[in-house]
Amino acid sequence: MSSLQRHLRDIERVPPPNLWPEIESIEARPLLPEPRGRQLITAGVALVVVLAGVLIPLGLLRLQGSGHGLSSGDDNVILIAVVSQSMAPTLSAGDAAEVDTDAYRNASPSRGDIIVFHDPKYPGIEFIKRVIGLPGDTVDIREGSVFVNGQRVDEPYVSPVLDRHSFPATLVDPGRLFVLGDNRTDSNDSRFTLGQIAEDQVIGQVVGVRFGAASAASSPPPPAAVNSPSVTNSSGA
Amino acid sequence: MDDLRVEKRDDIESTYREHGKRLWWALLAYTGDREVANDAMAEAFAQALRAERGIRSPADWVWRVAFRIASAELKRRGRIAAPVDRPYEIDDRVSSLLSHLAKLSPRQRSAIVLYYYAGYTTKEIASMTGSSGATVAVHLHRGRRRLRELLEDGDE
Repeated sequence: MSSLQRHLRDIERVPPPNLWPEIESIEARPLLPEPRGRQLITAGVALVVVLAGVLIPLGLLRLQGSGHGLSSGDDNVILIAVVSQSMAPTLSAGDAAEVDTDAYRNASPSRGDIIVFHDPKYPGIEFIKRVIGLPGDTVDIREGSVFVNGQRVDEPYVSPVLDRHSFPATLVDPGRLFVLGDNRTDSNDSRFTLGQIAEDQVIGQVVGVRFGAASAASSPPPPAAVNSPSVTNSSGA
Repeated sequence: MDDLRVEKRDDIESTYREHGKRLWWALLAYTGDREVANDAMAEAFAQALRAERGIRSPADWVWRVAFRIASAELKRRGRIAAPVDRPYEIDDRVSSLLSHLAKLSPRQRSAIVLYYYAGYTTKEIASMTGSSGATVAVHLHRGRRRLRELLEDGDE
């Protein structure tokens, strides 16, 4: 044994802790504690499929049951026009997304949330993507299936996946989020040049969508969108 | 709980019994910080338990994940380990070892600990730390030279 090895063995003079009870208690915490966004968007997609025909004429599909109405009194909710297909089928170009700018005032984004954010690399552009990995998570994609911390993520909001690409296991850095567009074949996101995005650049959470509301009165833009930034998902890379 | 899950849990638990101490000591040598070592190890094993698919080699998997978590935490704290002013008891030989290790770069430290203490090859370390074998060899070489200097100074 080299002297280096011998010196390093000195570390064994420190009594090691028994961490197993703690490990079991961490493990008991669900990896995906049914975050609001995930449940709601899942429900939203189901609704889109079942009820789209009924609701689209009304122009509004609420993804969140209560608390985030779009009444004029709710001034923390802004409408933004969706201008790309990167979040299809959940959001399509021409839809208007309802964004709660208060959602993360006292909370952090959860996995599954759809968020609107800026990125310093693309000044003046707002993006819409879905949160996949939180700081400290390891995200990888195996032939199109997303895994967070080794556990496969159930993604009912993604269209029957055409995308069979893989992405190597990546640790999400502190203060960063790993985001993907639902439209995996046509989205610039954390897999590509967008990279991991900064948590402090998040503007708000998408809590509802008005289908076609942004294109219905495409020029000029609908009144509701006048005071709102337009959103690009920057298709492609 | 179904049988598969029980089997997996037993598998991970026996990995803990077999590798837990050694991994913890390695993490302590790498981070110089008991709390970071505890957190990284607990989280790595918890992730192994949560993993839906069986992990082919749980031991290698938890070593890799624990070191990655520890490395991210060190970056987050924006400092390398500073083993002075420990709030807990630690004997002189350990504290001098940790203070020597703290003078290496994090990458030199991980290379030294994983190679000389844990017995991984440079190629395995490269795969664990997301680096290349040649880069690991360079860190290992520089870290070894520096650590030997420090140890010789300390012995005099």
